[in-house]
Amino acid sequence: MAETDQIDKTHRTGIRIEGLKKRYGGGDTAVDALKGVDMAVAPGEVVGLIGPSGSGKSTLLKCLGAIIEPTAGRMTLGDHVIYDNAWKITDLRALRRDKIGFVFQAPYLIPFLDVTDNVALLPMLAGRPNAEARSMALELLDALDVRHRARAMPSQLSGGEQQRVAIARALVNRPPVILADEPTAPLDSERALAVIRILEDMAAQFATAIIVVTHDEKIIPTFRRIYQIRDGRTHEVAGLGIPADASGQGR
Amino acid sequence: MAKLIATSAKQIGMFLVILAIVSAAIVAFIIYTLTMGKIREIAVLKLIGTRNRTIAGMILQQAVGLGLIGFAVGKVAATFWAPFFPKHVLLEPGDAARGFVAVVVICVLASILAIRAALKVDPAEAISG
Repeated sequence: MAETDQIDKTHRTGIRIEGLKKRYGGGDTAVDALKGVDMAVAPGEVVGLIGPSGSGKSTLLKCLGAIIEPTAGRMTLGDHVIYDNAWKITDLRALRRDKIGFVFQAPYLIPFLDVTDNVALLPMLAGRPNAEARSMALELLDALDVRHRARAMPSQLSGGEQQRVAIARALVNRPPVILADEPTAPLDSERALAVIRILEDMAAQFATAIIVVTHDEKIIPTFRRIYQIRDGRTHEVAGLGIPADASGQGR
Repeated sequence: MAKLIATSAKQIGMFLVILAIVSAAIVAFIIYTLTMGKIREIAVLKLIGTRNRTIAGMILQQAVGLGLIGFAVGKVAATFWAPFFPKHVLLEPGDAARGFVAVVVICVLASILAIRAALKVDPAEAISG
C-alpha cells in the first residue's frame, strides 16, 4: 500500500499503555505479574507480543482487553484514557464489545445464527437498529471476502471461512484495537500467513491497531515490531517485517 | 371394576412421576457435563459481549433437542410395543401431546443447573494461559 493510501492517523492513538503494573495477592504472597509495562501501537500497525509462559503475557493480554483490573499505570485507547490508576470507564463489558476486537484460535461463532447475524450481533448489542447492524455486517463480510456466505450457517463454512467471519465480527464495531490471542496456533504455514495477511489488510483498511499474541515461529518473521515480555516487563525489538503475501491464497 | 382401574391409574401415575424425575436428572447431568466441557467457548462469547440470555438459549436448545430425540424414540417404541405388553395398554391420543409437553418442561427445568453454571463463567477464561 502506498504511503499516500494510508488513512490519516492523527485522530486516533491506537492503544498505548504506560507503566502498567499488576499485582496478585498481597503481603508476603504477592506476585507482581506486570512490573511496569510500556507499549504503544499505532492505528494500522500489527505488532507481535511474544513471551514464555509465566512471563505475564496472559496477564498483559487480560489488562489490554479490560478483562482484569491493573494495579497501577495508564491505558489509552483511541482518544480516551480508559485507565489511570483506576478505571475511567464504568461499563467494561460495553468497552470490550465496542472498543476492543478479539480474535482467538477458533472462530467461536454462535451455531444457531447465520453468518450475517453472527457479525451483526455486536452492533445490535451496541444499540444499532437491526437493519443498520446487518448492513455493517455485510460490509465487513465483503471486506473479508465471505459475502457470498452471508446467509449460511456457521457449520456449513470451512474453517478458514469461519475464521474470516470471526475476524469480521471483531472489526464490525470499528474498534481502535484488536487483540489476537494465538490466532494461528492450529494452522499450517500457508493458512497461518493467510490469517496474518488478512489482519494486515484489515489494520490498514480500518486504521486499527492489532496486537498478535503468539509463539508461532511461522508468523513471527512478519512483524515489523515485536514486544517481548519476560518476568513482567516488555522490551521492544525490531522484527524482520517479511511480508506475509508470498504463500498464495490459503483458505 | 372402576376401583381396579383407579388403582392401576394411580400406580401408573406414580410410576410416571418417578420416571419424570429420573429423566430430568439424567438430562440435567448430560447437559451440565456438556456445558462444563465448553467453558472456553462460553467465556469467549461473554468476552465479546454476548448477552446472558443468548448463552442460556444455546444451552436450552441443546437440552430440548436431547429431549425431543428421546421423545421420538420413546413414542415409536411405545407405539410398536403396546400390543405386546403383558398388561392391556390403553394409549389415548392426548397422551402423546401431554408426553411431548412433559418432555419439554422437564428439559427446560433440567437445564437450569447448567445455565446457572454458564452464567457464572469468568470471561477471563477465554484467554489461554
